[in-house]
Amino acid sequence: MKPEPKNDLIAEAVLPHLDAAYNFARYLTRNDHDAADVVQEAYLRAMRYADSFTGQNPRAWLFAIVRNTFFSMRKGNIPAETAVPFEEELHREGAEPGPEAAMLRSADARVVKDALEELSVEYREVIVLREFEDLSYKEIARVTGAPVGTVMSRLARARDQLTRAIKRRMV
Amino acid sequence: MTCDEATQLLDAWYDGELDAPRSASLEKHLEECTACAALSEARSALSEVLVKNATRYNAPAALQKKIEALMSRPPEVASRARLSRPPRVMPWRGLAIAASFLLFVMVGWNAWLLQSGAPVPNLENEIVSDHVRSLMANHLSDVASEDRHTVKPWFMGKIDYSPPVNDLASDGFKLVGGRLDYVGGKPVSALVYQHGAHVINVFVWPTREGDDALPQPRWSNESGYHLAHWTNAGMTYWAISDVDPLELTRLVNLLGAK
Repeated sequence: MKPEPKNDLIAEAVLPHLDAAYNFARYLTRNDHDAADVVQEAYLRAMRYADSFTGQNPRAWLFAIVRNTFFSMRKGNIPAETAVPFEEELHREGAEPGPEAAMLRSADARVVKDALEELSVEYREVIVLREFEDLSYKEIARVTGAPVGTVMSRLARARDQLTRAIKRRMV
Repeated sequence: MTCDEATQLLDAWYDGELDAPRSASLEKHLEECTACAALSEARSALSEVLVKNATRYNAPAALQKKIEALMSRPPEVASRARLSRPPRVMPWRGLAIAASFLLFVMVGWNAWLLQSGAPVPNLENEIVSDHVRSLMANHLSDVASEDRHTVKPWFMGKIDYSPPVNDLASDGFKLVGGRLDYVGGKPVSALVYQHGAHVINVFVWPTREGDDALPQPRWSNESGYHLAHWTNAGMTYWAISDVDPLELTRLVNLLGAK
């Protein structure tokens, strides 16, 4: 069978984002093996979802598929992570200027990695989408299916938690 | 602006998502409040350290190869999925993706059925085509006879089994003849009955590996025809007709379905 034009279009649109898709999946799954499975399945689905692809923002479209694939596979194969207790709006520390920022800047790769992996998946994903991929709130809302307001507050909490997780490893 | 308001808006401002008027008043607050300014500074520091020290994972070469190969040939299911969905532009993809996922599950289920070789949905289409062809091409029967003692032996040497041929004329189903047909890539016997003006094709073959055991008939409708599918005494049956379903049920029961 000859590849259909739409499939060529999809391939052209999503193949350049393979590394980003893998990075996202890797942070969602927290291991290489599951990340590869999720990404492979996501690309298969991307072909099947050809009709939902409007040609705009293939990266966000792909992230949404990766995310959905992760959550649907997690129900089956990928073991669910232990629930991280949900922290409500916490009191922010760091009243003095300087120290907290300096401490954060001195964190090494190991600390950052461990702190990131400690976050719950809802926080991990917004950090990756915003800090690594530079997606707008609207785009993150589309990827995660959450309202923009939720994205905003979730991102704020995610950054607070990540800051504390790094801090805890620095003392 | 109070500190509470400022901390609530800080991330949106930091991410460039805050409208201009509130951005202006937040910036003014940051100039005056060292605590909030420290928080803002910490946000910058966090971003910096993430860019500098967070691991960026790249797709392994093997995965990349696999996916490139995968994308260069469209999976059959993809094209099938496309046929059954009207093209449309959705306000956003959440819904589309949910719908696609449902479709994916359904297509996957079909694919699974196909793989398991079970009562393949395609068989139904084949039966319908065979039935229609038998009516159209003036090829209702290879052996035209009302006598089952003529029809039954005719199949000998043409197929490797002897289909049960019943005389049901007294029940209102006149045997018209028999025919050799192809279903699932194998020659099978087709027995032709007539009820009033309606033709009923009954396909019979020894139950193959993968055929469901169906003592009770499974009914379906396809292109305006009623189909019944059942098994009895080691044989798999498909009956198809446009006759009244009640009459078809009667025939199906006469042919051994429970």
